[in-house]
Amino acid sequence: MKFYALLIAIFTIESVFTEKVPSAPPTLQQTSFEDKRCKCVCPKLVSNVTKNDQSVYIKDILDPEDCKCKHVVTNATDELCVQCECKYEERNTTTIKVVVIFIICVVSLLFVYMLFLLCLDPLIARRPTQYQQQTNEEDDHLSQMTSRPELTRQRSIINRVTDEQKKWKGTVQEQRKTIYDRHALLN
Amino acid sequence: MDVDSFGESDLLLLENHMDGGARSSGSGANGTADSRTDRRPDHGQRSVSSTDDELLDIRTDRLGSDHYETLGYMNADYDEDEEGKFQTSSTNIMDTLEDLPPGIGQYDDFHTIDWLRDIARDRMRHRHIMKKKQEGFLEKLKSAHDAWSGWVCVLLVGVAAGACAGVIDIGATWMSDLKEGVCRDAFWLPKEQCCWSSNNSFFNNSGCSQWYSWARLFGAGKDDNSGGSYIISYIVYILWALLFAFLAAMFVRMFAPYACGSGIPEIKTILSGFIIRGYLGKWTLLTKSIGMMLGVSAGLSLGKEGPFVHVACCCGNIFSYLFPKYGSNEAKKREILSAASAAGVSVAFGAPIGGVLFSLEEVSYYFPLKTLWRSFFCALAAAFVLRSINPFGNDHLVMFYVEYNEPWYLQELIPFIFLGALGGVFGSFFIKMNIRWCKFRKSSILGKYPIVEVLGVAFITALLSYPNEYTRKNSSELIRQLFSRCGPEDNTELCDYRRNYSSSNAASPTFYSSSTEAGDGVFKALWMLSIALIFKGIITIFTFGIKIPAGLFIPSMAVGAIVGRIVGIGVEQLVVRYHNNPFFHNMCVSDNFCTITPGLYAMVGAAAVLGGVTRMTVSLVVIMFELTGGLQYIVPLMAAVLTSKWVGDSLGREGIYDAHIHLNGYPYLDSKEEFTHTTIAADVMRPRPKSSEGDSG
Repeated sequence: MKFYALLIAIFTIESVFTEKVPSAPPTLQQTSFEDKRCKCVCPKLVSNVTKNDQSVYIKDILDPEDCKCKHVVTNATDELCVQCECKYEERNTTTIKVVVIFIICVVSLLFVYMLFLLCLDPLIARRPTQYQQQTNEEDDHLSQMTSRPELTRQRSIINRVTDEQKKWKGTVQEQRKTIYDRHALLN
Repeated sequence: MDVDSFGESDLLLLENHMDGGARSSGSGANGTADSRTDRRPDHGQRSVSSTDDELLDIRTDRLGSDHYETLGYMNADYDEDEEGKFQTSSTNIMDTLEDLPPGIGQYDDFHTIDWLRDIARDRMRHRHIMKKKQEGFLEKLKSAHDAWSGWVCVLLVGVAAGACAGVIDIGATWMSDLKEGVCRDAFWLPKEQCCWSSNNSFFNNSGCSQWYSWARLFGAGKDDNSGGSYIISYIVYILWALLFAFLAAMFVRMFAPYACGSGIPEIKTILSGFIIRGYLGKWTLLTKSIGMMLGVSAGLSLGKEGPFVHVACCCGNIFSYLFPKYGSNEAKKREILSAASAAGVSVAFGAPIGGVLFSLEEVSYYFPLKTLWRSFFCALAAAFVLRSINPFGNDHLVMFYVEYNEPWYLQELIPFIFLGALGGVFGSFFIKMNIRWCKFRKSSILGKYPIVEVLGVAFITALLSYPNEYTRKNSSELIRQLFSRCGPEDNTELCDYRRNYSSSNAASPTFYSSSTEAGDGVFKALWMLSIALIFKGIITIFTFGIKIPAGLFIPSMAVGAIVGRIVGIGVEQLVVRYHNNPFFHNMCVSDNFCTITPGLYAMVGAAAVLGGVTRMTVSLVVIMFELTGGLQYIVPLMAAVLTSKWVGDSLGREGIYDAHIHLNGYPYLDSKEEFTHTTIAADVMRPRPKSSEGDSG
């Protein structure tokens, strides 16, 4: 569910992105990532007289009505334009941008979490003081049950999260054993 | 298993309950024997509930308590707590709403579900709601919610599957292009989108001014053809491939080991009533989605189309928990999962109807009409969402959409059938080899180093695929190029024909797609394609089964498309050379102007090999014609796919998914298998029952 919540959140940010783009300084490159284009495909050779190396002509035309051979092809002649096929196309670069940035975020988050699980987690788990502390917490938890409900709620949330994580780790461990050690599934 | 058998057993179950003989009511009759001791527990289930007649027999003849004793042997190896669980669950069968702990299903991991009990439970629940409906407005509202919850759930699943597919498609395209270079001013754009508005055709690989190959970015030279820049590009390509493969393998290992593989064999098993806890969970969904992108981007010979089914099923499982009707009832949940698998194929190929048929033909086990309609709706919703995301910017749902409408001739059926036979041969060869390799991996030391294996395969793939331009690119792009016909804008080697520009046909619109004598470029391309074919055919055997998300549709389609294109060009040249032959007479308009489309052969070849590997027929043809958007290629595709299935079946009976199910020993009862025994139980009984003599049935 978090996945979708994130997705929705990012799609709402999308509007912010789109507003930012026009305010950016107009550079030469910016025009080349337009979302609309007119693409004309013409044969390379028209007749024996005129020779044409180029066969695809693309121009940023915002109005679909203007997507005609005459406006797009550089050395347009009537003879050439008869054989050309022009198509008006649209795309959405903002979607691509948002999705790619989202993917980069997810991959790097997973990577960091993986590093955490691989390196830091064993270190934390190995410290003997951890167990001591936990029993203390448990005592506190019991004693403060009546006095400070807010604190206990916070603590119980943390406990629940750690419990969930522990449970999840156990499941993954079990799955790993099934697949990588016993080769019982998914061979 | 059809609806009638449930009706019978419902009665059976209730009668049993009234007797008070709660023991083994559901468990014995449906063979939910302990699968930890026996991995194939539900043969008993089939033997009892496979046909209506058998059930009827049991009901009428042996309605006494001795019936349960005859079936009781199945529970012989039950341990105590197991038995207790069953007792509680079956005594609670009347008050269905309380019998489950919230959120968790009632079955243990690796157990087989009890279809009849779950359906009976659902029926009781339904009856309960219907009874309460009269009590007030609120209850009426509740019953309305219950009635439409199936459709809502399926809609949500479709939307989620479409969204996931969109994200994965965009991400995979971008990451694959990252191996070659980057769009410097807008790093999030893949190569095609980067050069979208530049005056250049995409198929000539030079790219455009905004696209920076890594060598160009490092300043190794302005032109991409010098030796130094080639080596830099080569090394960077391999490094990216290794990085992606490593990340995919590590994510799978760290977060969700169940995310590896294609997932279709397991989905089939789950839909047939097996429980694999966590196989359709959140982490599996996330890891599989990311792993698919990384795996495809690593350039490995695998596809993301098969795992889409798994991803969609994960969505189905997650969303079914919003509706207790489905979330807490495993048998009902499988209806949602059937619909979800249809949505998976629908987004993978942009083929909603093909998806529904795939679900019906290949994965689903229990598929009533209600599920058919929901699957259709789910597939449509998914396709619609994906279409509105428009991940490839071409207004289609797949990269290799085919747009041409060329004719085909009756004589061409011969090469099409030949392609079908080739597809069948390759399919069964592939299955045999892959299963052998998987067995080897399972039993040898290789299985202990999954990460190393992934890295090794990725390294070899990258090393060998970079020099050949047809293997260097993404498989989907290769398929697109092979499927397409030559147009005026193509100046690739595949389209290097000796066209007579001064001829009278030069002005006709089909001039560039017609067949003429092939130029040198075509012959060079044929050589490269042959090498690519051998490479892809072999490396896929080793790739399918490594521990990252890996589908089989795209690699087998790529192999088939290469074979098809080669055969197509061969036929084309044959016809062009002997165009005066009466046999080829109707295929040519004039000298050197024939209409043979090698792209069509590529399409037929892809369908044939895919059919040979997976042994799908109807759904495959429908998927392929939905890809083309035209009905006229149905006959060639049908001929090829059926030939492929016949040839394949004669060489080895089972498809790749069934073979993997057998390899893993999943408790899956194949509905295609026939009951081979001619004896009935009375024949082997000693002493023979007297009554059986006069019993004519």
